[in-house]
Amino acid sequence: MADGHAQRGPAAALEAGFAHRAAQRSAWLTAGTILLIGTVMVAVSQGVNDLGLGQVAQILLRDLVPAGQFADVTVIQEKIVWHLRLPRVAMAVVGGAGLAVTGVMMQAITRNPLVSPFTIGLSPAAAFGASLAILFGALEAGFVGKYLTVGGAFLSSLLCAALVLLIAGLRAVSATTIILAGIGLTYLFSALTATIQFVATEEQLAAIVHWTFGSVNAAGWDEVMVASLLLVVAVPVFLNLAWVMNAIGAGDETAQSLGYNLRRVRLTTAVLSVLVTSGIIAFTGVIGFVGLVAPHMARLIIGNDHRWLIPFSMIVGALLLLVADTLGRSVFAPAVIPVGIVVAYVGVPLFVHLILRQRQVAGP
Amino acid sequence: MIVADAVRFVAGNKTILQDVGIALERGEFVGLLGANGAGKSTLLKCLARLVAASAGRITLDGRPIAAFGRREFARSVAFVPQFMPTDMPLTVMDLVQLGRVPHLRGRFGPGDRRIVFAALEQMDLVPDAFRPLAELSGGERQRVALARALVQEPRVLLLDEPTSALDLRHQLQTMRIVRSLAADRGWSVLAAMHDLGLAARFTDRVALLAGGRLSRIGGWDSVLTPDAIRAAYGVTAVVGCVQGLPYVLPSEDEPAARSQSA
Repeated sequence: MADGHAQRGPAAALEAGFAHRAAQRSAWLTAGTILLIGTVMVAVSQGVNDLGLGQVAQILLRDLVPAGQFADVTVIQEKIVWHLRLPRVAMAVVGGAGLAVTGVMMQAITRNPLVSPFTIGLSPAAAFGASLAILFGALEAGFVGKYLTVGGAFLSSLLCAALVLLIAGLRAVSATTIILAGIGLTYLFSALTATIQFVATEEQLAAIVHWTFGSVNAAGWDEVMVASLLLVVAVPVFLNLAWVMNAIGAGDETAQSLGYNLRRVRLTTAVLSVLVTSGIIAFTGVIGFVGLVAPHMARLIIGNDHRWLIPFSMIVGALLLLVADTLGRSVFAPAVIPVGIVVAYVGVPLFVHLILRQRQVAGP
Repeated sequence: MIVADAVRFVAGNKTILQDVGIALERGEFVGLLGANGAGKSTLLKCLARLVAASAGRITLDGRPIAAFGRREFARSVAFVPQFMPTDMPLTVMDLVQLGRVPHLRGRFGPGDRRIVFAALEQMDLVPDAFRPLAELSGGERQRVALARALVQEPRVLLLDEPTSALDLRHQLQTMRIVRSLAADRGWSVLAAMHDLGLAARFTDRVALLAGGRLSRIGGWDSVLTPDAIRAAYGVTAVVGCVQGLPYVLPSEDEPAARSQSA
């Protein structure tokens, strides 16, 4: 007010700052995308039969470029890439992106940075469903058995989510009720899984434990397609909700007074997040950490504006899971360490670092 | 013009508001006064449609507020809560932009941007525009919240203690801005306040809530009598005016008066 005579000045400064921020955020998105493409190439090149990046490019772009454009490749190499490596790489990318974006959304609607779809008990529930399928003979059922396990995990985590939402819905759908209901169900499903492990045969027990490690080892194109389909449906809805997510960050009263129906927004977000998460972990097993860490890393880099955070968190999640999986199968090759394990080794130090850094920013 | 008639609000078995009637004319700035728990925030929330009154009728320009669409209502009535959570802190710029949400059709355009920039300037927030909310002081956040309401361009502005965390200069500045919003833009403003002197000085009328009832409403010199203050707040007060500036100086706490008002 005091500098009313210089009105052009502040407005121009704000305009410049606004443009600068937008450019900065676009740059991060672009850089992330390029990095992700590069990492995909490297990931595909890694394996028992190492390929050069030129060969990878040649194979991936085989329909677009003439043979031998980048490098010469054999038919075997093509098959390895298309049928073995690429599906698993794609599953890591889709899984990482999906878990990260649902983490962002769940954190936004609960206004709690420690929430992810796993906080509400989805992973123990999925583990219970998978265990139940294994206990009832999924191992002996061959091809059908595989889908029995997937279906069991999926349905069981949906059941858990329905229970959480039901409990939360009986009161207001608030962060606290969702989290408390989730904690309760986590213990319930863990106990149920433990009970199954207790009565399972040795072979079944091994299969159950292996499932809970979480891996993209078994991923084929079918699985990738199903998981991607869920994301293709959910992500546009999420992006459309970006403004509301920002508004909820400013408090329920503010968001409501801006004209949002928070009950509906929370329900839509929660249901879609649960579907995406369940759809991914049913195929991969428990890879929970990405949903917690990737959103935080993305927040630190690009800020809390969900118009940018939603897409950027997907890139970060995809990168994190892909790097973890690639490390898991190359560091101790030919042994393959499940990505669910590696991602914790990579993620926990990052997470601790972020917590410490957050304290500094928040201050006393 | 927003009118509340015989509004009653019951939470559990506790009656928070009882038979409250208040009408805000176009372009009028009214201070809502009363002790803690007198029902000031609840009345604001009823008017802002954040909670539904248990009984009574609230209309905006003759239409019941429940008949408005959500976005339409948000374009008409803005509410500024006393506190904003900062668990997921946006930057000041991102937050103030939110005020445009009820008006947006598609993208956030250059016109919206100009309105946001003007509000940031008006609230002295240009240097802080790109800082995260968590880094700001309580007073700065209050100014951010008010800036957000400004860009919402409502007809009715409801403020819950808008100056409670502000320093002296920003108290005056905020009150001056709010008064000019009423006088120049014709907004109706209702602000819950604890600083009686500030309220007396800047508002057109003050309304005094005590025990969930609206005990008095009118010009400050008729409402803020020592008797009324004793009844509402349980303190003795010296009320006066020096060089055109009204003041209310509380003195002894009176146990007898307090139990009377309870």
